[in-house]
Amino acid sequence: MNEILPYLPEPFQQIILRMPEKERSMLEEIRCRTGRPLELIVSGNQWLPSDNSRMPIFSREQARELLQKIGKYSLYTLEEELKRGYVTIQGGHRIGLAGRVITERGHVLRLRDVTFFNIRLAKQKIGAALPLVPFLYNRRRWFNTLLIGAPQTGKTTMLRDLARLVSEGIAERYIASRKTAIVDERSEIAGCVNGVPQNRLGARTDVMDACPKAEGMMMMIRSMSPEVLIVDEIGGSEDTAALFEALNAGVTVMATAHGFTFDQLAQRPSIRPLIDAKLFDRFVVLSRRSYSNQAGCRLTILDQLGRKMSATEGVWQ
Amino acid sequence: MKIIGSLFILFASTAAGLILARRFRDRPREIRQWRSALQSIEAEIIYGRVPVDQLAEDLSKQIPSPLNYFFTLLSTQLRKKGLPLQEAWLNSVEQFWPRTAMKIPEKEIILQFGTTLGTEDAENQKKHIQLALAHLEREESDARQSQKSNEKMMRSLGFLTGVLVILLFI
Repeated sequence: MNEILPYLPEPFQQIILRMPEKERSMLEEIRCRTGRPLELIVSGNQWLPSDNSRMPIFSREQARELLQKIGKYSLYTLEEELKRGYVTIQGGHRIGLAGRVITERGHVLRLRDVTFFNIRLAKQKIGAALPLVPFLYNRRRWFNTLLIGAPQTGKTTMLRDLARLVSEGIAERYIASRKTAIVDERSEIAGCVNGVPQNRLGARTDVMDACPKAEGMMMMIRSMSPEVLIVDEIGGSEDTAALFEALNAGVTVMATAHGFTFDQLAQRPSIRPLIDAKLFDRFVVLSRRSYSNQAGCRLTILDQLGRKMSATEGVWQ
Repeated sequence: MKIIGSLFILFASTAAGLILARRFRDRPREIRQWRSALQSIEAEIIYGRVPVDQLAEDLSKQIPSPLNYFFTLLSTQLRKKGLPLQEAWLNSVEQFWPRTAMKIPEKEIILQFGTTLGTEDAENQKKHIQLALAHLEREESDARQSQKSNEKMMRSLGFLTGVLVILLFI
């Protein structure tokens, strides 16, 4: 939180500082749109001040200033980010950007007038993946695992914590630590700033930041000899080929994929060969639940063939 | 008594002449320093994509005096006080300028450059730097010319004024 406040215009800081402690700790997104009032998302819903006071309007001037601050007043440092449409800042928070795009031969060259900002607060949930451990670890090895879930169900949070557990090991359960490699195409798992992870990922983790997954996986296998390889959001056909390579090289892979259910995912042409070849030992399906205004998550664990093994529910937001 | 007094006068006026001459000598030298500073800024931006606060700190250690003081000012304003770049640049220029022999045209060029720094991508940034460099080059040749015609004159003028005043008093 303290990392993000200096970026925001003064009136916005006031609003956030005046929020009740409990709601502030559950703040997920800060959305700023030029000419529109500030929007705060607290556990999935829009939050409004209880005294019905108006949210301050985000002006064009403030938008310019925010972008300048993000780039430390050196816009040329943001060239790559303006092409990708998001920036990762200190603390692992991500700022999504939108506005007017300049194209060249049909490809995005970069964003020019950035007028929409979505500040997604990174919150590492230490221990989020603990309930999964009994299902994913057996006879001194981790299973190849695919996490399945719709956006915002906490796949990445779960994967990040799994990475931490694998590289730290769990002493109470006599689980030894492993060499872990993360290919972090969207800087979401490790939240790297200048190549240094901002999240707690254990001492034995190597991160390939902002690297295309397929190439990154091969690079990691060749150069860093990982025991467990962690990737986010697989889906393309090159990803599938790289996954085959990795799984045949004897590296354990943990990955996530977009999808609502196992059956739906199994229909996807790029994922299907992986399931048919029984390369993944476990599938974890995540779905979002809310318990009396608290966001939570339901985990369903499936075996190699997609048969249900167990389901647990937990409130963790 | 008379001789001591006249020596004092001669000494003072010669010193004044030397100081004035020095301003003419320092101006082209300082403009040249600025040009080399801008060139290193260009290299850092194009090849290293180094943000301005880092750049200011590096330059404050690299460049010789007096220009390093400007970048020290800029770096403290950006880092410690957290001012926006344009404001910090303006403040630093205002604080720095009285210490130099440079004149209004150079100041205008540097201020103009400050408003563009950090607001565009590397390619456009390069163009702005090239523009500032071209302007500074012109000013430098101007400064050299006036150095040529004025430096010697100021030096001898100081001495001769002293002689004149002494003669008048005697």
